Amino acid sequence: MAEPRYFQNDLKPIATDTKNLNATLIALKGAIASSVELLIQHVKTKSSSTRDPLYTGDAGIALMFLRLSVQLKAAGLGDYLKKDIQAQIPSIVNNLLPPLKAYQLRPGHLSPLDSPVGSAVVYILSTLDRVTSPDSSSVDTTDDKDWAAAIQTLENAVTTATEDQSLGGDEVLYGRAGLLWAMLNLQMWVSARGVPRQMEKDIAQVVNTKTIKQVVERIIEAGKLGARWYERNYGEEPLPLMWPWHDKFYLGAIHGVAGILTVLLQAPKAMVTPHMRLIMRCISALCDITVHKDGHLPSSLPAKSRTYEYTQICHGSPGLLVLLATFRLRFPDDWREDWETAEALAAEKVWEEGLVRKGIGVCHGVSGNAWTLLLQGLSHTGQKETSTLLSRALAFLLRSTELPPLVPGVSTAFRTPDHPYSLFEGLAGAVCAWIDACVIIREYLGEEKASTKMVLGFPGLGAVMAPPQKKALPSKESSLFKELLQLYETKQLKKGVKTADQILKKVPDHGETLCMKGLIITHMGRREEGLELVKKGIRLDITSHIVWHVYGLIQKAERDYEGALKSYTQALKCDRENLNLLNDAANLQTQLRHFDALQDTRELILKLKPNARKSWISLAVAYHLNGNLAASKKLLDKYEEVVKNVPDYDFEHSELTLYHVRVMEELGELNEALQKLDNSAKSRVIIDRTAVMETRARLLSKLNSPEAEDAWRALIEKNSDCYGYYRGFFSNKGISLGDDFKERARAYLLNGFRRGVPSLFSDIKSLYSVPAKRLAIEEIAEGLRKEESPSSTAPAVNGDVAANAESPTTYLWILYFLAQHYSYLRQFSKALPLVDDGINHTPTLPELYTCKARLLKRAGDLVGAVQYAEDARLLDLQDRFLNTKSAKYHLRAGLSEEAQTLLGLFTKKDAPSPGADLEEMQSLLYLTEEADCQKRLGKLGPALKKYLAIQRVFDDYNHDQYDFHFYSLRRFTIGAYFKLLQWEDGLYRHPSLVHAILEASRIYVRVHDNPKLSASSSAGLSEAEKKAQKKAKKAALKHQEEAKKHTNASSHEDKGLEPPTSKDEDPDGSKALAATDGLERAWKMLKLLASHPLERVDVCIGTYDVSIRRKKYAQASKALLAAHAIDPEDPELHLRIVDFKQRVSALPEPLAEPLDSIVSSALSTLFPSELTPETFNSQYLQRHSTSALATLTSAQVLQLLHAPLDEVESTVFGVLAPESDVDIKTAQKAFDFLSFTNSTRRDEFREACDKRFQLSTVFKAPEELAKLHAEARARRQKAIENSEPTAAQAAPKDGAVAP
Amino acid sequence: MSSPTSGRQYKNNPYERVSFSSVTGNNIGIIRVLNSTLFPIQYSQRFYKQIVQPELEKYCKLIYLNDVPVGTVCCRLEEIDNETKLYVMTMGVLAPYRNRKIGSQALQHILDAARESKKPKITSVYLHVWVESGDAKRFYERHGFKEVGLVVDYYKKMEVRDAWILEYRLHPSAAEGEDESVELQAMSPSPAAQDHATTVT
Repeated sequence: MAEPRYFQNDLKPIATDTKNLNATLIALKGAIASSVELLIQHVKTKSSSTRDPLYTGDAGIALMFLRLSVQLKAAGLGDYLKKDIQAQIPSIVNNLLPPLKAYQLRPGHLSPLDSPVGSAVVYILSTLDRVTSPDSSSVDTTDDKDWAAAIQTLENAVTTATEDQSLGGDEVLYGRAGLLWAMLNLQMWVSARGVPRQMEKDIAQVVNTKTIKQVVERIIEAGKLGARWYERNYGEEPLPLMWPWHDKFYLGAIHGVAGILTVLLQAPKAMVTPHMRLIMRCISALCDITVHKDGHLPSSLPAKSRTYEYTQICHGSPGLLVLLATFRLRFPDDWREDWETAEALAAEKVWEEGLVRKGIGVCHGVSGNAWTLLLQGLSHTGQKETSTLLSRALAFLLRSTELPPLVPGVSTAFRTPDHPYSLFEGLAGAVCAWIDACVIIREYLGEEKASTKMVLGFPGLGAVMAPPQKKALPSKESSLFKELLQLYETKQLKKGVKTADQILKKVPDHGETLCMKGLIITHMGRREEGLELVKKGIRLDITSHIVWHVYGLIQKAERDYEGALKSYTQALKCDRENLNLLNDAANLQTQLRHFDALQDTRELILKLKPNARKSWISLAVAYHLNGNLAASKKLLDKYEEVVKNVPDYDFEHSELTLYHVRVMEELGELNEALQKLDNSAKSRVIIDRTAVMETRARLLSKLNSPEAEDAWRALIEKNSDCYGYYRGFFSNKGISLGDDFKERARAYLLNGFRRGVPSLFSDIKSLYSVPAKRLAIEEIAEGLRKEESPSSTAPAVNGDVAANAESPTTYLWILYFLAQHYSYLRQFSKALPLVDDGINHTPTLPELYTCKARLLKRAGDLVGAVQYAEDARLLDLQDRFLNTKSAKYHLRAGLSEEAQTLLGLFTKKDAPSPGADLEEMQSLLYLTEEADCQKRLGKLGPALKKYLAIQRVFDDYNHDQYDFHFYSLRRFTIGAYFKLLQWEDGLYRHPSLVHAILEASRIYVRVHDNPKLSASSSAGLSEAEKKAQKKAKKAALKHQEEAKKHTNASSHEDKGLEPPTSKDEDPDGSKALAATDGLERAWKMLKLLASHPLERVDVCIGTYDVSIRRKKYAQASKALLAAHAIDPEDPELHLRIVDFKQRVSALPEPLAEPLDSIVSSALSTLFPSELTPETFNSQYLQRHSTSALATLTSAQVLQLLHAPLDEVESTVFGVLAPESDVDIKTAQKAFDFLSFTNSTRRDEFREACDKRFQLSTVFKAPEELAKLHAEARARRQKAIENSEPTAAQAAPKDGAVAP
Repeated sequence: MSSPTSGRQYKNNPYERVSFSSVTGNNIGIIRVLNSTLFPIQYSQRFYKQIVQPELEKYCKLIYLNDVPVGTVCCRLEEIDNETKLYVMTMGVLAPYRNRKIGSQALQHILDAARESKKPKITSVYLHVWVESGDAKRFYERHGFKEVGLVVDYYKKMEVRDAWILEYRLHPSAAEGEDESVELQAMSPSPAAQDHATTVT
């Protein structure tokens, strides 16, 4: 043939920007609409007698209409097709189908493309579509002869396909592959849609896993046989699988290998995988040929040399492209990169030669070639190829809308096909291609309900690659489901369950309904049952956003934020642009500080909802959080450009503008920020005057402007009680208190004494960091004490004090101040007489008693401390501070029960116990003191329990911020929101949390080292304690019952989504203590601290202790190196270094790389390699000979190195050497260590300590201490009996009036 | 701390402020400490029950100087021959705070309260003063109290046991003072003897 089979391609690819895509979309939709009308016209006037086959028969046009109705929404065609046409579709389909009969089928004539199987399959599909569409009336097939005939025809075809053994009937157009395509489609429809039982059964008899597998196997067998035959016939090396048709070995998609493999790949994966190697080798061979032919695929083998090659689906490389696209979509993990050359070459060829003269059709026409590019682009989704492929495909498709029969044949050089309206040659097929293109464009543009899942692909080849569609509920159930959602929203739970059950009765495995039921049941308090249902629902409908959303909600309520975010991400995959999901996901991302992802989410939200103020600001905040200040500012600028019609005095806009200024400030654009602030304040855009003043002062300070001072002064005048303003004022002035310090301090102190400011000392003591100031203050206060002492003040004149004389309270407060001063400096012998003087002077001031109590506590006299704290408390029974103080000192002295009684005076009376109430109130003070007290008493279980309670409190704090991610951004209180986030981010540094975590992990470590501890902790309970425990248990039980009664009474069915506080199964913590995974639990807690930069040696040490026991040597090395960086001489570190060295060298075999080099590099930093541990230790001791702690540590190291006990002992005694800086804590530690080593010199040490710390009761012999406690207890008992606080108020009448 | 009420500036010293607060079950510990510091007598449980009764709220006070409790005054109501009298059981100020008109203000505070009382209408305020404490007697007389009698052996545990009775007529025009003093004298020693102690001067 002289003229080429294609036209020169001079088309311009369609740019994939929104504008061009929208224009293309409109053009395609228009073409579809007019084509549909043309086709309807054609159908009415048709005279054709070919009806059954899909290829050129009426059944093919019917299939097109069926596809149209399925894809209508996804393609956005709802508005383009007249409503009456939409309504007509089912009847059009029906009219197009011939009367159905049960046909017998011959081998080699099984494919629906060219046999009565075609009309049978379309009939079945259209029936399924009708019964599963939401507004269908119910369809009964029991008496439907057509249905029975269709099923029978199909069955005959399948039987023939599996029984026939001859070669030559496997390709798509006539053979088994075509039939397999039909079977797979049917199976997909049945599983994806709620098909009535009977129909499902009918189909399953014919199409089931067994029959599909048989057909697949038969095709593969034939392929192998064919390959052998080819080899024998032609003596050439065959492809691994080859199928003859009419004695020729075709390669294309309709008759050949490419098409057969495409269909095979879409069979269930389990059936394909066993043959994967063969199939892939086959594809490789096809690719090799294509590369060899520069992008052409010959139509058959052996390849003849021709002057031309076809470039169309049925023959040529487009078939290869369809095969490769299908492979990539179905088996992305098995994809081979060396196929990509062939892929690219073929795609290029299609673009160059794809405008084939044969016209519009899909089998050998322009729209078919366009479709290959389209599908190839789809298989590349997310990669750069997509847009090139898409733009070329669209150019082709637009061209195809200008071809006959849509436009008269005379106006174009393209041929009018033989069957101008048919599915494979004519208009109907092109319409299918355009519809798929519409879906893809809309998804590309991010439009609603468009999803590539709705792309159906080539008839006869594709569609099975798409994941199953959502199961559509029958119309009645569908409206019930809507009602169910409504009922959940309004929390009508019981009704909700009823409705769900109603749906499930009809459609028992509807995943979304199961999930909703599970969610409601969870709300009703049946958590486990609910969760079970939800999980089942997810399994049944894994592509529904509803099921994932439900699961995410439950996980979120359980504070499993990571899990919840994963579920939301899944849900978003199913419904990319669901705003509810996006907002929740953004909140979770903020909670988890996934700022990169947050930024993406917020960007998408803004794109979807650009007219909501919140979308803009949330994105600006997200940029800001992600450290992208410039982007934040740019967005805010843009926002202010767009925003219009802000009402006057709009608070939200005011906050936004302030935030804008703040962003500029943080960017360092101070002048611009100031200007914006001033302008906005002047124009009354910012209405928060205080904020304006504060921001202004701050900006002026940063600009070093002379106006700054005035700005701060104005603030101080406005609110003189704000420390921040003074700080701002002084830092701006840069004042350093120099020579006139003394004078100023004296005036300040005297004023405080005269006015009786109790907090004067705490106010002033921050100055003590400078010793000179401390000394000056001591001098001033002592001077004032002399001046004001009663003996030196002017004697009374005429029995009356001079009017201008100093008040005696001044002297009293001086005494108080000085007592605190010396107590703080641990000069107890000076402090004690002063506070006693004060008590003698005025015995009614509680502060003096608390001062003395604290002093005694510091000096180690815990018994005395309790005494004086109690004295203070009795002076003012309604002072909770005094109460707490006294309770705390009781706990310090190990008097836990008395402390409970005291605390109970201020806790809720209906709480199960005072401790429980305080825990509920998140009293960190109580929890910490109680835990420490139990720990000192050796009751590790209860101690551990309280430490864990502290951790829970912080977990609550962390959880508390969640609602603000949503609330603050809605209310635009961004300044406060940032402060909140900052505070939450610093939580892991909170001393109470760090203490609790470290102590808890120490307990776990102790139990790990000595498992007996967990048993002895609870076994050591005395009778009385057991009784008390029983009593507490009973009380708790009663409390629970009451609570139950209470909730029953209110009979509120909604228990909320958060799990209820489960009842305490482990009241004394013994279970937690006995946990076998203690170290893991410890690590779980420590991770919170260790995942931040380590700033405290004790945290490093705690991390080391747990890591080394978990045999995590890298972690352990890292922790020690961190400690070393903070303080290389720290005693605890010293002990751990030797411990580490010992443990590593005791390892039976060296660690695996790279662990070994990590550890040895750490050791080389920590431990001088030339030293023995012994010399390392003795050198350390020499360096720190006066440090008691270091001395003790070196003794501990000695013990670790198995030194003789007497050497260890004598080193410990070094702690008490005259020059040692020993304090009570260290001495106690040393004593504990001696007890631990079973030293015989233990008591000797104790007595020496008792002598050294004279005031202290810590080192009394047990019996002596018991006596002291008993005496104190007797005294307290008496005092309590005498006071009987409130009982007296309701006193009886006796003695009201004396006779 | 319960906040003291009715503050009053003391003369020219801006740093001295005297105020009073009622005795309640919660601050009774302060009264206890004051009593044991000020008076040689150990007070019974009954005393402490009595002073927190609501009807005595106006007559049982803690005295504060600059918000520091420095003294106390506690009275009770007695009904004698259809007349209601206020009996001052204790009155005292801590030693370092004396000679600063604190006691005077406290006494005046009580007298004012008693005078204002309508139900019951109080006719007079009276008290016992140990015969050895002339300062105390002079203090009360300076405030208009009159000696109306002497109780022999009033203080059982002291070396000198006698006590004067001093009385202040709240509504002088309404009744004759002379008669009642006789009555009082006649009925002593009262069963509520030993209740009074004064340390104010």
